[in-house]
Amino acid sequence: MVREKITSKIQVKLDSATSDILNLLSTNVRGQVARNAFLMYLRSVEGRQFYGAFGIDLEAEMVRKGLSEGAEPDLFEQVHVEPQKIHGKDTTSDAASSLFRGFDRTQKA
Amino acid sequence: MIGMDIGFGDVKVAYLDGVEIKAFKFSNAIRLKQGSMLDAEASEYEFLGKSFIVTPNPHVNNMPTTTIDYLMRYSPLLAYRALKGPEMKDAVIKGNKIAVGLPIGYFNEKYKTELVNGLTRVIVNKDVIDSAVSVLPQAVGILFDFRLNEKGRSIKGTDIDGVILDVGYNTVDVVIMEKGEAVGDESDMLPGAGITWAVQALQKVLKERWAGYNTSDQLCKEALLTRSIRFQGEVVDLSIKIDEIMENYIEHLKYLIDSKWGKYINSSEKLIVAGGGAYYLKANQHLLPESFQKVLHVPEAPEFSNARGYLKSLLIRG
Repeated sequence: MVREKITSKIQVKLDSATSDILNLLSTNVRGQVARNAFLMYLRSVEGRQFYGAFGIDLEAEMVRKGLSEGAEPDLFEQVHVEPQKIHGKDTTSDAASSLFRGFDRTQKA
Repeated sequence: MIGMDIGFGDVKVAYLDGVEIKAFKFSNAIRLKQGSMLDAEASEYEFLGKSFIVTPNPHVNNMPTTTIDYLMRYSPLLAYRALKGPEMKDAVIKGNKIAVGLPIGYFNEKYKTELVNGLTRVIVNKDVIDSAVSVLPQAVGILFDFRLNEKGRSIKGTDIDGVILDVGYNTVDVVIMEKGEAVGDESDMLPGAGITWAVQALQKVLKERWAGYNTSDQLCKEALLTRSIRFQGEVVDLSIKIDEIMENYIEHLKYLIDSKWGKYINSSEKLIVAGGGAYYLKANQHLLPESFQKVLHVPEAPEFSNARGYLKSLLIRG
């Protein structure tokens, strides 16, 4: 019951977050995401890792509050966590790009 | 702001310390922490939920480092080591920008995206580093290094026709330069033609000589430079065997390059050779064809040329 309560709290926050997280949720792993989020936080310092792993501005305080309301960290010990990669963008400048052309190769299998 | 050349053997890093470009390198060898004596002196990094040693010391049990998947997976860890290692500890670095290269044969959307995503946010040791990431084709860094000064301005007289050879550990990248611009259609990568060719030949020799003795890639690479190797406490001179291996290697490389790009070299003003393998070619340039020797140009500290060029690409003035 405790787990459901905490998961529900996380979902409320996640549902209003970025499309990245919504995409994750749409793959029907709501519980998994919430558990991973908690474990990430537990392993982090000041929630920084938690923020970094998901690339969104989730409030660590909200998770801390969830824990203080009765979460049992041991529940999540078996969950494997791998930080979520964020989507970056190649920032090569136009001036730099003007010095090379025709390098895009057909994608390898 | 750094330029980073993540090779299949070493990671070369160039950075601007004030107004001066400085460079350093470290081995890209990585292994999972084992908690043994081997780890006592080494730095430990937590990455993807595991503890790794990024070691400057050669060990037999490091992971093989010559695949593109290895570079993709561990480039964030190597970038972290570059940024947080001892070399740049006291440097004054401006701006969170990383320019990095991809071998020409892998320069496509899949790998570019993977590399950009991996480096845009690096998470190691519970530390988060955000950077703007620029990806350039490998060896094009050498062109930037040749064409731009330390302030990112064009150097007069460098808008010429030429051929660039980036002799790396695993691959040799060949870039055609037309009027100072790199032309991808005519450029290509030669997998397995880098110094690894000579390393493997030496490994084979040592295995035959010492009944099944396996020597790591890193130790063999060092032996090619020092021309000796330590075996059972003794330093063994390998000069004669290494001369023979290098002659065969250059003959092999010469054939590969001449057959495809000989016509370009014949009409070039410069044959620019850089990368870690440039030292070997320069030392043995008498073995190269006369057409190569006439236009040969090896930049200063050639193994850092790509990294310097990547850094200069961040400084370039439009």
